[in-house]
Amino acid sequence: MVSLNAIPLRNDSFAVREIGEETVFFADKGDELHTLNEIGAFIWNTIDGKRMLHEILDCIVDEYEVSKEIAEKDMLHFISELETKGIINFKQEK
Amino acid sequence: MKSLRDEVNLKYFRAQIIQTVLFEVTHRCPSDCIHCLLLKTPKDELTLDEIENLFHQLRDEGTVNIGLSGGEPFMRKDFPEILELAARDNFFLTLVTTGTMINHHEVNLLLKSRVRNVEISLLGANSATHDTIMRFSGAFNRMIKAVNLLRDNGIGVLLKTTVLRQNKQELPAMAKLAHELKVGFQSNISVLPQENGDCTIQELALSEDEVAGLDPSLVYGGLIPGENLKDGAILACTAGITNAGISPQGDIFPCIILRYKIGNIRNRTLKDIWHDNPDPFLSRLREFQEEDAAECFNCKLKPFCRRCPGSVYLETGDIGKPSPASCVLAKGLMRAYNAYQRRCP
Repeated sequence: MVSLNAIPLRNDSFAVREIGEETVFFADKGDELHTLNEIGAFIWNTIDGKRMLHEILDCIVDEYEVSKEIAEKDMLHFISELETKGIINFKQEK
Repeated sequence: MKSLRDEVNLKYFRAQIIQTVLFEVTHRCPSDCIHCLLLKTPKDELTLDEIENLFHQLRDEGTVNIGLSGGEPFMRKDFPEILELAARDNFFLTLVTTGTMINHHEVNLLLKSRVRNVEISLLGANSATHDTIMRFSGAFNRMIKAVNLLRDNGIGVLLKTTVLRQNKQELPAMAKLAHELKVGFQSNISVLPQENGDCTIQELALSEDEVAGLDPSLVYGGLIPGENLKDGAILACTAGITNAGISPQGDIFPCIILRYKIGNIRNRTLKDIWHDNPDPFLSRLREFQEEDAAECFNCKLKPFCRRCPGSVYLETGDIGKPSPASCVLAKGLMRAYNAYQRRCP
């Protein structure tokens, strides 16, 4: 399980474009492609190479009416998916 | 069932978002190809600042793919900076080049900017033919060196030829050369008029009889009986919908072949040109249906024809008309195809 002190970094080899209400990730090679819904896009936009996961979690709780416990579980699941797909990686933990 | 990619492509199409752009960064070129459609244009090319702004606008539009073309892109001294700007906005880049100005340094620049593919003109299987058509002594040897460098560094290479009267005998040898170099090969038999509609250079194209003598498996993607014929004449296309072309001076076209200026990025935003206040020509193009190309719609030559709205526009000024040059080539190609079928049933 990733620590809430980890700092996620965007993988620049993806072209990320907002098409209507979706955020689309085009992979650098091949036909790989992923889409994010509104909440996914919100989390993506908070990943700036500086914020730690617990700070991103605070942003989510501020923006959406959701308990911190549920938001944390969903965020970690989402972050884990992004990492698995190679869309993000992590800076060293503090 | 539709794939996610199909769904995304449909979104681009429905919202008329530019997905792919071909950007001619300069018309300057060390070569002077006998069949080039470009005229000598003024040198007031977009500056680096203007290009940076253009890339930002394209990124915000949703554009993913940019082809950087010329002329010869490396003729611009600031082309490394252009590559860097494009990479910063995370476009997927293809370079369209003569291959005459690529050495180790340029390959490293391309790698750094994540250029995925390089398309290079091949106009003969040897230096005599290639250099003569390009009117550039030494072009062939430079190009071969570039191909080897690019391939060895993992960059995809596609050699593209236009089959002319001057090189038609070498079509099989050019295909063989590409195979030996372990890179892709694509041939085209259409010669486009010049950008001002002057059709004189189309005299360099093959006659019907000459096309009939070609091996159809070497033309386009390989016209082999039972395959590829679905890719026939393009009566209506994504020009002006998900595709655009941009000149070195910032003129915006529906596609780089369909060179009708719908605006200039120097005095209007891309959003204004493409979405908010489209030129009536662009609006008509977007509504154009295959049936509107009435003469071509039911033509028996359609599977063998490669007319497209852009080529027809250059030839006749009307996207709905037949392309006289394409009709000639299609007749020859149908004969070549039928002869091939008789030989290899």
